[in-house]
Amino acid sequence: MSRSPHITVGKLSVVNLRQKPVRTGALVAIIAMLTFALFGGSVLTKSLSNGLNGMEERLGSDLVVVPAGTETSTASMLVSGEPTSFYFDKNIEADILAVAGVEAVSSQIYISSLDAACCEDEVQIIGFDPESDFVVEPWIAQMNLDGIEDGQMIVGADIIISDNNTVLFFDHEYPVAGQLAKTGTSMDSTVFISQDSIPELVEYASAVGAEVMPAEYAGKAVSAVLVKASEGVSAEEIAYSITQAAIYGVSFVYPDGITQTTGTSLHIVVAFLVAIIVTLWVISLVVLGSVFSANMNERKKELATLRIMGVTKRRLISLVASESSLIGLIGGAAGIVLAALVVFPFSNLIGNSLSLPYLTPGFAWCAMVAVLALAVALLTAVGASAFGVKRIAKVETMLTLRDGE
Amino acid sequence: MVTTAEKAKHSRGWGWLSGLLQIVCGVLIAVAPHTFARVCAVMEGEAAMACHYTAQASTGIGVAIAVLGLATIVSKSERMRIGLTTGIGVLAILEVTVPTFLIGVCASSQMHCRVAALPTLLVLAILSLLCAGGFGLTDWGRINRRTRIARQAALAQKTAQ
Repeated sequence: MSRSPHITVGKLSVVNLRQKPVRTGALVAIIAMLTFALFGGSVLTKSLSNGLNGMEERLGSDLVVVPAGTETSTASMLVSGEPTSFYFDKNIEADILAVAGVEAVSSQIYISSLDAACCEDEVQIIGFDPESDFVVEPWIAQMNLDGIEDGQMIVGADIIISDNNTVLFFDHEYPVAGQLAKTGTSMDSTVFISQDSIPELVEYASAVGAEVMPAEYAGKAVSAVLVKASEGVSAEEIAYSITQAAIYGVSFVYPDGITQTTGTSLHIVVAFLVAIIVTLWVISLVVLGSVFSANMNERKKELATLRIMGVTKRRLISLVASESSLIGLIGGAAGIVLAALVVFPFSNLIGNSLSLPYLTPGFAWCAMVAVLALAVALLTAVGASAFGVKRIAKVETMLTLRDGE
Repeated sequence: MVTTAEKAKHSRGWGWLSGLLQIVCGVLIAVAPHTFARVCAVMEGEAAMACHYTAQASTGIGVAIAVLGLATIVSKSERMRIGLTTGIGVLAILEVTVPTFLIGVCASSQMHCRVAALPTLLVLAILSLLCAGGFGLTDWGRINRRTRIARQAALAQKTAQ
């Protein structure tokens, strides 16, 4: 004896949705757009927030003293990693240390390289002083690295290291002491070297025809002096004291100011994303509500017939709820997949285009947000069908069938 | 006389949409590395980078996907369409492996080929694969459903006799 096919609410919902492919497709597309914006926007916001936190941690000093007129290029190097080179006399470091309110100073030398076999694009080389440094050393300690010796380099996360654990600059192989973790900031494409190794690096550069710094400056010039303020002294007060101490030809970069400016840009992006998500959510609710409501009108007789065949009201309600849940789930999953195909592979491009520090969050956070976005999609679809469900629960079968006679 | 089942068997179904999407993906895969998601230029007198060969291979694969997409549009047989979408799926997987394993792109994370061309090719190939899988399964489901209905009808007829 043959077994007759068993009809379930789930199967019936699938068949109903299949019968109206264009309407189903349109509803799925609306929910997909909502979850695309919700998931994509959340990942984007979190990535920018991670980048900002990374930048705050990495700037590390209260004030940066640079040669006059170079504050803009210093700021753009710190925020977007635009390589730069400029110098002033190394003696300024001692003059600044003598200024009231200054707790510590450490100089850095910035050299931009166009000749790196590991990376065909420009790389920022930063020469730091391991003895006085209070910015780079803490990251090195965090990474459990053994510090840096003369002639060695510590490289950012985006720098490609060769198989023999070296990087090639100006035709010279530098051993790599360690690689820093990804920060989402300009530091990822920066290499750090001890200041004592800079004269040698300048020689290597000039041997291959690259004039990174006049040879007579090597060992005598620095690009920036990082200043740590004493307790209770502000960066502005120190800048004023430096000016009063007749140290001329210098400009000031305020890391806090850079962080605040970046934070403001981040808030604008976040506000824009929130506006898009809320608008899409309202549109989704209105459109889905209208379509489900119109659909209930269309299907009045079909549902009444099912009632006469013995289907309970509860079953009818679960049929409509099941259809809207399927739309919510399929649309939600499609939106999340599409958003993932944009925000993860194109993360570098997005970060570069926004010119803001950008660090993609980890898998666990993304998975949690994906589940939340799917839940919002599901609730939106089911919530929008609530009006139709309410109507089924109210109207009597007999009246529905008589309607329009 | 052509029966309804025969008509359904030879209907184009969603083949036009499947083919159209594959043509769009194929054309984009073919042109992207040379236009909007450009790979690194070959400098005169210097050896070409890996991304240059990835662009060439992608052009070939993209054209093949577009041609198979066109064949999907004109094909009336569901079985034929399943064959074509399987072929497109294989090509899409090949396209995923070209910039990642088989040939690759430049190593530096800031190079344009890595920032733009690699993700563009990957996303287009994955979309092509998803479309091929989705529409292939739809056609397969239609065949199965029709076979099941025909079998049930035959059984019912036999029982009635």
